[in-house]
Amino acid sequence: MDVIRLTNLYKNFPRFDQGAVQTGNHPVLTNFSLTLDRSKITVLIGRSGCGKTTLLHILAGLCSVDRGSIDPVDLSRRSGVVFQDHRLLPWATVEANLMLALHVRKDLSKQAKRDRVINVLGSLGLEKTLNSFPAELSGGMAQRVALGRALLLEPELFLLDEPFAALDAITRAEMQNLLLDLHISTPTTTLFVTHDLDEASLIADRILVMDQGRICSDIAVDLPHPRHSQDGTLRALKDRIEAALNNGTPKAPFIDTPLRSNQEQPYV
Amino acid sequence: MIISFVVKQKLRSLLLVSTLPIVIVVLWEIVGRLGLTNSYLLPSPSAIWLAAVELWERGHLQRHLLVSVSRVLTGFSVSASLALSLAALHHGLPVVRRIMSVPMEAIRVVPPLAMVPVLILWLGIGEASKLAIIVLASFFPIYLSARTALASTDTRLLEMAKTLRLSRIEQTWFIVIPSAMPGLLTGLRLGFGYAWRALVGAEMIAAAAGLGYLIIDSEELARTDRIFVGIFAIAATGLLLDAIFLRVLPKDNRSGMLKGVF
Repeated sequence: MDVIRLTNLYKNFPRFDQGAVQTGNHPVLTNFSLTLDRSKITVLIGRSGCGKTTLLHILAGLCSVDRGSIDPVDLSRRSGVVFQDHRLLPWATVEANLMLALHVRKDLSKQAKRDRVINVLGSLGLEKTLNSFPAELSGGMAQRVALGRALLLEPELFLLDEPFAALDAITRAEMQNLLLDLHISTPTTTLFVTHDLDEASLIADRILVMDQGRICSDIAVDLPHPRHSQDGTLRALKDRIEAALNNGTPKAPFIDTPLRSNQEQPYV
Repeated sequence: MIISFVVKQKLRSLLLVSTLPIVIVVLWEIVGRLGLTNSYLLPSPSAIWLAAVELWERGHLQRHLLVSVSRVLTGFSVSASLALSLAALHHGLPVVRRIMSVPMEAIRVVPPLAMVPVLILWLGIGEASKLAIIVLASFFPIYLSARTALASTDTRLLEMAKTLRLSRIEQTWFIVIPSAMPGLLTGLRLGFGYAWRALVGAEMIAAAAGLGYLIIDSEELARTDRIFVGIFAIAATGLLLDAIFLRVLPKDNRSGMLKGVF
């Protein structure tokens, strides 16, 4: 999959009055177009209700579009999703939860599936949790298992919906590093939804600022990893994102204004 | 050391649950022996015990017990099968649920005993009408619990299952049923209790055996002691069956249901 192209997407949700009678439609995405770069981490940032989670759900196949085209058409079947909450089955062990991700892989033997599960757990530093239940894991560990579950699908598009939002600051930083390590070892096209300016500036190769169902700023981030949040360049980048967020409603359906930078050419 | 601790805990627990019944029986016996109550209206525990022994020695009590237990088990099996199937159908096809909702609600609010004359007309005075009473009494607790349990599946888990590309059948097997399992088991247990409680009503219909028949027959013979034997037999057997039910019925074996993925 070279590139992912979303063209002229429209999505409305019905609006109801107090008597549950539909009174109209609430537009969430309006003439939305986007091209995702291969093997890059694209961060989608925006205020609550701006349509970023709806967009992610559309890409994951959890929600349909009213109009528009997605290329490739079977994108949802090639994607892996990590949600804000781990969504592990509480009655199943870590192993069973992960094996569930491989259930559709009829081409693999049970032993091969088990080996993959053990490998993924190893890469996430969770070998000892194989027989644990989700309730026995910390929030960070459970979220790492959820990450492993998505990895087992070997996705061509990795969709992450504020995956670290519920974690404490230290665990969140660990998870961000883990994600970057995984991305370096297996570069996968990634769409990462977040509210967090720090997180966006630390991990993104490209930042899309979204407002009212449209992209109002598209910023390319050409900075090496690891990045440090106190770094001047990063602070300038965060100011840029914040300004885009505060400017609000876009003037055009899609403002393609990539602001490229590197360490020699800071955001000032 | 540990064993003695466990034994002590068990003894303590046994003492805790048995104290009140023992106190009631002792007080009841004392009141009876002192002649403070009419022995016809309220026979003493010892008189009830003697009546029970007499019925047991003649083989009557065992026969009544066996008939009642098999009747309840048959009625409950029919009821559970119907209720679980219908709950599954209504969960999968909400349109069918809406179409059937008014008649179902109407049947639910009518006490099963009110249906007795009609059931005799339709099904006769044989076993079928008695089973119908038990089915009517136990159907709705199982059906309603199952429907609520199935509807309360966490939609976030279903979303997750979709992203794993599981089919609808796989989602039902791996997510919906395990998630509904505690509610399903509670409904079955409640339904079993209702089936047992409907027994006397069911055995009022021209029965020739059963604990309900024993009570009705003893009333006609003015044998209050035997009426109490019937009541205590229903209570004791109900408690025993509930305990067996808890042990025998499928436990909350949700992790076992995931064996399909291994």
